[in-house]
Amino acid sequence: MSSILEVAPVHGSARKAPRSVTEVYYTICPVFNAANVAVELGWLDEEFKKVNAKAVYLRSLPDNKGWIPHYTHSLLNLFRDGGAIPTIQAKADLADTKLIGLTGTQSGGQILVRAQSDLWRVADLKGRKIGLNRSLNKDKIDFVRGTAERGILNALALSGMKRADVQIVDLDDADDHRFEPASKPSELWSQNSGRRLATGSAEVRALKEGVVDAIYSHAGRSQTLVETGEFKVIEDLNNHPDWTLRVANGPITAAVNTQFAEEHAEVVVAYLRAAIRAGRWINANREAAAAILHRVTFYPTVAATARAIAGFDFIPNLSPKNLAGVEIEKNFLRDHGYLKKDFDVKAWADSRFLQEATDGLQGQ
Amino acid sequence: MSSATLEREPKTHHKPAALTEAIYTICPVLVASHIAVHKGWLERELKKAKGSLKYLWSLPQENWLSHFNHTLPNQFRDGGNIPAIHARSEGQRTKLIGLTFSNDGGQILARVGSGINKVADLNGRKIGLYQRVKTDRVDFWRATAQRGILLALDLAGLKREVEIVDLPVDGPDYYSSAPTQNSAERFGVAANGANNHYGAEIDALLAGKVDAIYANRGRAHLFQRDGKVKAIEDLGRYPDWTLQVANSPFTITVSEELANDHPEIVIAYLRAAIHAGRWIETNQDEAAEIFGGIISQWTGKCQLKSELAKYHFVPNLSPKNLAGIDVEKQFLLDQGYLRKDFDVTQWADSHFLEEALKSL
Repeated sequence: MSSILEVAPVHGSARKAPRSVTEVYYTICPVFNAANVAVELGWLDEEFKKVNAKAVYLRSLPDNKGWIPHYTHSLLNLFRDGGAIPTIQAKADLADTKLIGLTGTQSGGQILVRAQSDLWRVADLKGRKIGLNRSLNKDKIDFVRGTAERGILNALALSGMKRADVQIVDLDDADDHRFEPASKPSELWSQNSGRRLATGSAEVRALKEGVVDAIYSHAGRSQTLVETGEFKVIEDLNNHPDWTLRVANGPITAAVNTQFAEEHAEVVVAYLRAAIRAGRWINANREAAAAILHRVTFYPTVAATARAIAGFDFIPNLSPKNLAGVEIEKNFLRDHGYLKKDFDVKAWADSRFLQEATDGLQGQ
Repeated sequence: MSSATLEREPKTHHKPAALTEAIYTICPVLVASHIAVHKGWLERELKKAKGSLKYLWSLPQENWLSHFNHTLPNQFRDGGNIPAIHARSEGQRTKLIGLTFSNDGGQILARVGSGINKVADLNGRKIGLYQRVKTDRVDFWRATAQRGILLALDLAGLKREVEIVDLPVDGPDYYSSAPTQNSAERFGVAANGANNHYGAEIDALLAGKVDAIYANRGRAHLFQRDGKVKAIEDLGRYPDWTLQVANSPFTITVSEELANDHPEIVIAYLRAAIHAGRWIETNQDEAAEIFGGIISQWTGKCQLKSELAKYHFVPNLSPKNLAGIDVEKQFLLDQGYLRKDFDVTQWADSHFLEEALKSL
């Protein structure tokens, strides 16, 4: 990771940019958040320009060098906006960051089986095999497994079952993906790796070939798989009134390095201004937002994306409920061996930047 | 369950003037073809292709069985998949040219005050199942209900602990013996009135002869209006799409003879259906009014409109819908409704749909 730190321009670096411009990296997961739209609408660049900052997409680094830091937050001047699991692990064990915004747009996930199987409910999985992803890449957290493991255990609990009532089968995944450099997220995902990776994964192959009887699947991927006619969903954790079942690599977290935030509060505020503006715009323009979000996420169509985002509030916040969601996710990871150290979520969250960004946008 | 046998030589009394005269028939279900007819788009498209159109039910009664058995050589049929699958299994030369998914699945109804609140409470109780006495066509009504009941029992972890009581019905076969000119005329008034032999199940439930019955969402809605019955299970509320295979995905089929000799007529039919399907998706208020005249189980336009919002009306031959036909066919084979298996992928012919989509 040290080589990456060397190529990373430190803010205010005289070599890369003349004095006043602060270069800062950002990286965004393929999830439903306002930052993805702020980038596409040019509002991130616009807000950064106002404070003499320049946003550099982490994945524009050559030789796949932006990939691992996307998970480990190993740069000194990085905004990471996306799935909660890597953000939480980075905070716990790897990097000193601040939590600056949350978005509650994740979906709980589903249990997928073969369409022709005689399985109608999770209770029918008693004694059967459920596949669980296992990444062989030790340089990053296995967030796929962390998400699926929580979803599977929740689905079993809803059916009055425990882990021991089924056979959890580890399915190894090399997890050594390479991407071409991209100037922004939509360019990265247009390499089409996301959808293909999701539907051709070891879990899906194992289910298709009968190695396992069920897998956990994110709703976006499920839709694509269900459309083939080969699979069906027997449990949807979104169908329950319990919101904690929807904590699945979520809530969506925006985090930034602590030292950078302290030295460049104006850049953090600018980031959130762009995100809040985009969030308001998404809330008021769902159809158009779906068309943009479709380019950076994995639901099969624009219409499916529109259905998936209906009703969500995209304006980043640090609401008690979203913070409680992070706490639930963190505790799950801690209790299941994904984290080495625990930490205090409330102390991690710093609402000053969000407050200032919101205040600055009053009347706009 | 004995399967209905079809006679080798179709007993068709209607002699087509020319093969470009197409006969059409549509089940009282939510499919775009109804709108295409109502709006005059089906007639317009067929006319453009130098064809003409006749409603099956405007012909004398001896032709009507072709709605189920597809014996006419120049017929389009849109609606429930069970008769279409059965006709194909019996060797009728038809092509499957379009499918639309229904997310209904159906519901299980019990009496209010019965203390039965979930399917598991039916342990040791009776479920009524319609049974058509005549065997001149497949008993699609029974097959749909039987599948729904067995699935509901599976979901509740019940198997043989419930007694399924046959409710035999012997005619009348049709709401009326008088020909009608269109679906609105045929179903608009008579469907829920006297002579409705599909009332056997609700009658048995209300009389206390059985403790539960199956009904599709529209009928379940209708039956609950009086406050005497209630739904204790809804197969449409589960994420598992195979639970919603209930005489659906709806099938558009056409006689092979017509398709081979006049593909342009088949393309014209699909053009009208696709156009109507797209139109419904952006004109749900008006569509609800039109459907309201055909499917009278819904109280008012609002209910029907919210029902329409759950459907995708543009016909397709998607892998999932084709798999749905396989699911239905397997059930019909397992339960003895079909004598012979066949290959769904051989039955489906996407050529007409592709041409129709291209031309739009």
